[in-house]
Amino acid sequence: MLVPRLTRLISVLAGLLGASALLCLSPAVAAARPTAVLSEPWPMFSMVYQDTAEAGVQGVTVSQTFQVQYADQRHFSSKVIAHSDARVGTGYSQTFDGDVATTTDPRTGVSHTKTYGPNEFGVPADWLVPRKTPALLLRSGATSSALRPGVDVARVSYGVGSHFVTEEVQYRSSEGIPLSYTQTVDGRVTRQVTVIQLQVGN
Amino acid sequence: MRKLRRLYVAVTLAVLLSVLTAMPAQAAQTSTTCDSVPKYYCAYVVYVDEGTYVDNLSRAWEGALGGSGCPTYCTTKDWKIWWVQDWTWNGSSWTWQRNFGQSSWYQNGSFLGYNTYNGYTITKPALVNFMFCFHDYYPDTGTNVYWTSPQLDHYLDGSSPDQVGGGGSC
Repeated sequence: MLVPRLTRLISVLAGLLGASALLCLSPAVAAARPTAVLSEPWPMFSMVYQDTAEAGVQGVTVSQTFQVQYADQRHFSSKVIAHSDARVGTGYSQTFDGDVATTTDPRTGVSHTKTYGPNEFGVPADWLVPRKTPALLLRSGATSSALRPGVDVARVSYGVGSHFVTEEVQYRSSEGIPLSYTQTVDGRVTRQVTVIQLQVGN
Repeated sequence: MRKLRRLYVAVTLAVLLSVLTAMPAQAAQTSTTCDSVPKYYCAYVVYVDEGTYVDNLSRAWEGALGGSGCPTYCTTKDWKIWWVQDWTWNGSSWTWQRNFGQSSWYQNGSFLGYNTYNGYTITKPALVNFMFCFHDYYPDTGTNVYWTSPQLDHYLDGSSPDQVGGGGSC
């Protein structure tokens, strides 16, 4: 009586072990989710921000308003909802969906796509990089301090050719979501990004 | 005598007019667009306006990592031109003409000079746009991040360029 039961148990266990080995070796399973195992730096959020920057050597200024929907490092979208140049209009967008980044210009209807590897990430914007602390703190001479309850500020200054450049990011102390980005060149503000609306969580 | 003088003036004006209309069209250049320092990207277009089309185009672009201390002392490690595209307006929308494709990755910290994509004609109204791609590496997290310039639109009609989007993924 005991031997058939043991035999049956051994057979079941062998089957389970075999199935596990098959899953580990299956290329289809191995390729299903090629993402790096990293903790998420930010919670999900929706944001509206305005980005005003000098756009050329003639001092022309461009102002754009963006709407961002952020779920995690590999799922977010950004869309232009206002633009200072009437020729541009609205709707220019980019999305990051798992492993593919797509940029779409509604004026042409053309989309550009790129597929990312496990340790490669796109970002909602160059100043909006998912990290616990601003990337500018990685530069030599950068400093950070408390600005007001719940908000820290990071700054760095350096030379570019004959110019003196300062970058400043104000960000939420709790998880590092930036609230503003300011770039000055020789004491003049040349780029200002300001978060107009931010809703964190569901 | 007066008639002779009038004839002389008329002939002179006619000769001048024919010379002026026979002169070759002059090259034009769009205003240079860059990031706001500049330290990452710049672009412009030189072209000859032939009336109903433009030709002798030179699509000029240059990029850098953010200054002479880069890539050693900054997070930006490589850059490339991601696309340069020609467009023509068909009366209701911009119509794609051609794409000059991606460059290889560059590692210069400061600007070194312009690269160009030359040639071809575009029926007017004409537009050339540029997009740059940048690669950052963060040593504290070991991650690679990719971001873009805004799309730089250069209209070949004497008007100012525009910029749209930007900072996104590439």
